Amino acid sequence: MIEVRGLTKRFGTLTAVNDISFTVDRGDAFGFIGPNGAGKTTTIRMLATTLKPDSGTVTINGHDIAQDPAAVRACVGYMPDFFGVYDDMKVWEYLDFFGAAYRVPWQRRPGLIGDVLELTDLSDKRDEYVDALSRGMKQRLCLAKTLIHDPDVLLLDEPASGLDPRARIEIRQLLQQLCKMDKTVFISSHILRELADLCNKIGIIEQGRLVMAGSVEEISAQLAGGKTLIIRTTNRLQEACDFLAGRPEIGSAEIVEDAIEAIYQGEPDQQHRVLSALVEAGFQVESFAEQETSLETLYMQLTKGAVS
Amino acid sequence: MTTGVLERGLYRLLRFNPCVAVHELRMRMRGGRAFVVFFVYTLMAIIPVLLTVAMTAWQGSMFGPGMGMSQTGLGRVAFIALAYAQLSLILFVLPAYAAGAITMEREKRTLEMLRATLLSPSDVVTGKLGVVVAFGAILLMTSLPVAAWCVLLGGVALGDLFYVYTYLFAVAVWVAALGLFLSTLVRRSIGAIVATYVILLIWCVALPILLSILVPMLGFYNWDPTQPIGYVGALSLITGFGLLYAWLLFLALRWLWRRLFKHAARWLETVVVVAVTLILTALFAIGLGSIIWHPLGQAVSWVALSFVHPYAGLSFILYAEAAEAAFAAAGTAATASMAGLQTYSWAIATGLFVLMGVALWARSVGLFRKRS
Ligand SMILES: Nc1ncnc2c1ncn2[C@@H]1O[C@H](COP(=O)(O)OP(=O)(O)OP(=O)(O)O)[C@@H](O)[C@H]1O
Ligand SMILES: [Mg+2]
Repeated sequence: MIEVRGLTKRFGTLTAVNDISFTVDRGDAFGFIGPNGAGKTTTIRMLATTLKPDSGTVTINGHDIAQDPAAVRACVGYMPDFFGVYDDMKVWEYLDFFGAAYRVPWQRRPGLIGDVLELTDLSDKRDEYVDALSRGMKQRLCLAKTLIHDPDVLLLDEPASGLDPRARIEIRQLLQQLCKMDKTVFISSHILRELADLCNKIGIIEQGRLVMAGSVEEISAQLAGGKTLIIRTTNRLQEACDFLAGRPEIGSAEIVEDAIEAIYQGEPDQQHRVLSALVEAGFQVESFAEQETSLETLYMQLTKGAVS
Repeated sequence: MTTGVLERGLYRLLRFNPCVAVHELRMRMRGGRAFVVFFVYTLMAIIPVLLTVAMTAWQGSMFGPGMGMSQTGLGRVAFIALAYAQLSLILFVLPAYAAGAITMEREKRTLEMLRATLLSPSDVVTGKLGVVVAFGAILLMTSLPVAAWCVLLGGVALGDLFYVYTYLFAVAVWVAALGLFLSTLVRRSIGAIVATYVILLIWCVALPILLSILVPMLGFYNWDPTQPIGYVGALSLITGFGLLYAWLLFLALRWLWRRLFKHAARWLETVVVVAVTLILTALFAIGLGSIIWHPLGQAVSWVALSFVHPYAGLSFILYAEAAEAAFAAAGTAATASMAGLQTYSWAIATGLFVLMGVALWARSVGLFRKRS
């Protein structure tokens, strides 16, 4: 399990991670979502003990990252967002090297290498050179490397980035399998959809701040009152959109194709007032419908696209 | 408490994880590349030997056997050519291997994963250094048959063979550590490799040229052991060695202090360590000074100044016998103690290079730890 308290990291004047706190329990799959430059990688690097935090504490499986980094490393498997492979190195040698680097006894390594290759579906690539593998295979190989010392906690930084849709699904299935093996998985992405059905907990980070964290149910509960209004007008669509955005009960409004999508945050069952106000203001409303706000929409709303 | 230090040190030494070394060896020795390097190295080492042998033989045939080198001389000339050729090759080949060791990991984006493992900074740095040094040792060994041939030609004692090869190995340790140090210091491979070559160029080419101009002017470059060493020479020796000594002493004292008094205040540490370093350095300087004015010290000290320079050190080991003969001819008080000159020269020069290598290694480990 992971416990983060007041974690902060500054690079010069930029505060990349700003006082974030959250808890991930054993067996949880925690999705860490945020736009580019939000501070996901910085956070994960601190959890993986490769970057020292400026303040705040992190304990992983009861070990403090500052007090006992070696114990943390022993129980953490870390997959960085960008990683290279050595040339002139075969797949099994690569895994053997990392096994040794994690002090896995040499007698146990061949068996473990077989297991992780099986799991990542790379068994037939055992004797290939790593730099000859395709991108998706390298990504799976890196995941295999992450698992070689059988860690309880996995820190995965955008494990599916740069993969084709099929490979993404394969990676997702693999991760689901790992979750079933009772591993604690911490996974970052800037695509919420990718994580929504994999994770049971979600944290949303923007500009170094944790905007929201909790279980998927909690977040859904918060959304229960939230509705998205889909409004079409026959004239002055942009004006109507601005008009809506200015109203207090509307969280945000934007034009998607030929309709306005407005997030309703007012009291329940009072959406008709929005319609009345629109009509009173002289907009010719063609249609007025509502739908449940999806996680995606919430994410767009929360992060406001304010990318640094 | 001190036993704890010893135990921990031993434990850490035994726990050293050799996987970085195995990994590096796998990559470096794969395919034909390494063997091409060995082959080219041997070839480059043999060519000067053959040239000198051919030259000497040709001179002998031109001007009659009396004018050319004798058979024993021929072996010696060939061996000297081999030694210089190998020194140049070591200085030329090893930086390229060492200076990329850490930067390459950064550029290939494998460093982050390496840092997240249970390997300690000293595991990584020592593993990489070990492989470069081993590579240097293999290079040296590939030329052993040629050296054996020189011994067979005559004029080369087995002692010479031992002194020269261990000295070259010490230089290899130093060059490898220098390259590795710059690899941890500089961010990019190109920068690290260029920096290593530039430093070596300054050290091995520019510095001797400068010294050969300056030193005679200072009245210090004096091969006559009956003449006292100049004040400037003595002072520069004391300063140079004093600084080296002070620095190493400071590092050692600080290391000891931090292990003995874990929770002492920083200012106290600084005051005590600096004070002890200053006192001991002053004693060292006084001791060094009095040695320099001693007849044996007189001879050893002008030798010592040239030892930090790889070619000068090699020259002294190779020509020590000739120097001994010269001293004997001079017939002064100092001559009596000149008997083991070659051994002394070898010990000082080899020791200095190993010492510099170890200091650079320790610095690299520290830097690597800090740069996380
Ligand atoms: N080593 C560093 N030195 C200086 N600034 C850094 C460093 N690493 C990250 N930053 C800055 O910290 C901020 C957060 O970066 P981070 O890599 O954590 O974002 P991210 O959420 O992982 O983004 P992405 O989705 O693009 O991977 C960025 O503004 C980045 O420029
Ligand atoms: Mg990132």
